[in-house]
Amino acid sequence: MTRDQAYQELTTIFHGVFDDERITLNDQMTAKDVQNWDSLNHINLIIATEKHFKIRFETAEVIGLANVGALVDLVLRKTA
Amino acid sequence: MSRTDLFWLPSHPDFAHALKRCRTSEGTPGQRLELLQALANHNLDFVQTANVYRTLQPLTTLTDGTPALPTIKLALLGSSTLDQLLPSLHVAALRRGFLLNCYTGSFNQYQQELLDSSSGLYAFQPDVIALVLHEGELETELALDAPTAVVTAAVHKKVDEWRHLWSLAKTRTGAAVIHSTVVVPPLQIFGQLDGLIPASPPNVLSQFNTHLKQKAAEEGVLVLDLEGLAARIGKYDWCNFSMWFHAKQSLPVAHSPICGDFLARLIGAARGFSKKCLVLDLDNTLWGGIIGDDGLEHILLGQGHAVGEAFQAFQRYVKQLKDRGIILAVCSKNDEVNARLPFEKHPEMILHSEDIAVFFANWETKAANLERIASTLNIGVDALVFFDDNPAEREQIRQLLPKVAVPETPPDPADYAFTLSEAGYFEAAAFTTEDKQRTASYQTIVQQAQLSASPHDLEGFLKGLSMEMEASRFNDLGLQRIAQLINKSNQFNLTTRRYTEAQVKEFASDTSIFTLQIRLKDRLADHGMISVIIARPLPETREKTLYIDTWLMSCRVLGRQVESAVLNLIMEHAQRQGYAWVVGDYIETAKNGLVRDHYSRLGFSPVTQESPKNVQRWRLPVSEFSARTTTIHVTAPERTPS
Repeated sequence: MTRDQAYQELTTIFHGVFDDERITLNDQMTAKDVQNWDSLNHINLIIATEKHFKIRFETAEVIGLANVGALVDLVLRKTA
Repeated sequence: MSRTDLFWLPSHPDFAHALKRCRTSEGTPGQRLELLQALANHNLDFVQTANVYRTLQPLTTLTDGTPALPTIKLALLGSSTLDQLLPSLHVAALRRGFLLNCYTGSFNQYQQELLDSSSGLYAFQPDVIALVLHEGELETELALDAPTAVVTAAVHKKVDEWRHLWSLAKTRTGAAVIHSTVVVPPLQIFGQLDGLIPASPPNVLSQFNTHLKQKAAEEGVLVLDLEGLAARIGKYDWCNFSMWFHAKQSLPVAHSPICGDFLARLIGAARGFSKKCLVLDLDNTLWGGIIGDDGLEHILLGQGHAVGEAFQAFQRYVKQLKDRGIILAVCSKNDEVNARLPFEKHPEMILHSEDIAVFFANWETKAANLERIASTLNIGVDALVFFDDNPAEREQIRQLLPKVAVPETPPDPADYAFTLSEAGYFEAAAFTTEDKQRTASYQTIVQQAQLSASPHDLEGFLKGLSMEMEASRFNDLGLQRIAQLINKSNQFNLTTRRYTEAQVKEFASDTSIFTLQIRLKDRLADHGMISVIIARPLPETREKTLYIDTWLMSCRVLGRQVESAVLNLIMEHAQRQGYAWVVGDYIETAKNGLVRDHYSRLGFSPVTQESPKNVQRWRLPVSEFSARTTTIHVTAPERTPS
């Protein structure tokens, strides 16, 4: 999967989880930049991403996610 | 059929668009809530469910401040994070016809809240209190070699603590109490020997569950069987250990929709929202095939044929539902005599006439019949579950009577019982002697009163089906199916004339004969070839006359205006060919009472003439005919033959 593809599919997941179709992702984006990105929806985002890409994040990986760019990298690594 | 969480519900073709409609529609909050309720009755995933919940929040009260639907006050207490469950729980309640006003206790404070009479819990005055517990709560100090008596004492001690809390909760609030079993994690100590070692952790947890159920039954507490649900989902999928460490999340987030539905149906049961009556179709629902066409000998039911056994097993399941107090009703498009035949004469039937409280077999819309069934039984249509293999009938009920529960019917009858079971419409809060006698008591009050015709917007429903009809002359490609229809159709068949494939071929090549093979499809299904016409010039008449030798149709598409569209095609042909009259016979048989008034309904007049007693001739002057309006889009490639 290319980075662009991962971005595209994650965008759809973000739109669903945060219930906002206007969200445009970028590497630097963090929870502060997105309305509704609270701890509850963070869990939803993780689970929805796991489900969509058929991957499993390790406990430590979920803690270490700094921003959207890191999430994309992680997805790419896991699906490689 | 994939068995996802809510697999008995249809998946939504365009969820995002439907959700937007619920949010932006200009209707009143009440109308928008109805749209949302219809949306909630789809197989949604946990993200979609959360978005439905967000939409629901502002719609729960009407403009005058009253609740938009009956509202139950629920106190949800637990020893793990239950926030993720809330959206699914609210949406499941909406799906089942009520709203929830929720009080959630602080994390792992349920004992304090129940003990302290001045707690927020008691100030809230709940109707239902649900305790959803995590297995971590039950850690005992038991040594692995502790003997049975010691283990039992520890288990009883813990359950007794709960019993004390239940009784406090009940006396202080009068609320119904629900207590969950714990999910036994698949963490083996001895392996499969665990079940044989009294103090092995998995065994101790299982004993908690067993003893909890015993005491709950004694105390009138309802049990939310999370262990049973986890087994359905599968524990490999259910257990997400990481989420426990992250967020003290013990219920699987991805399966929130079914977790929420499991709890909501129990809350509903405690407050009288469970369904009461199962309305069953007959053909291809209780047996394989069509009784009116196939006859008693040829329907598939019973031993000796795998599919026949599947139908029989479904009947056995339905019979068990009846024995526990679910009222059974029949709603079938059939002549009543035909419909009742298997109940009276088929040796492999499990269900008999006395099991059915209300029996409606006629040719009216199922929506009208369901309303009649409900009023005959003196219950609301919201107490009905409608089980029918025909997708168009299900769609009609969902549109016209949205309060009726309509599960999808799987393509394989082997899955019927399982689907109905998992839909959980008949969740019970108790089992009493009254339940066992219910059908008998309903049968005594049933009076099949004729009610006024249904006010429903049938026209709108038909339009929504986007029906497309394709008519063409007989050809080699259709030969086999045409001959099959001619030799099999009994009910919608005006003359019941049988012809061989060779004869059909002759009609096709004879240019003086007008033939039609008609196919119909709609948004929901392709029905294939459903009607056949054979018409020929009548010799030795004063004015040129076209005689309809054969007019038959599959009963599956009855009430769709197909007859009108077909008449239009016949009359167009007659006009083009300069006929003055079109005539047709109704030849009465034991099975075609359905079409006795067919020609009269289409504007034909009876002809008085000497003819056998069972034949009535009808005629229509071509010059006076104007095309009948239908909602069907008709394609007839041979519309203008020479």
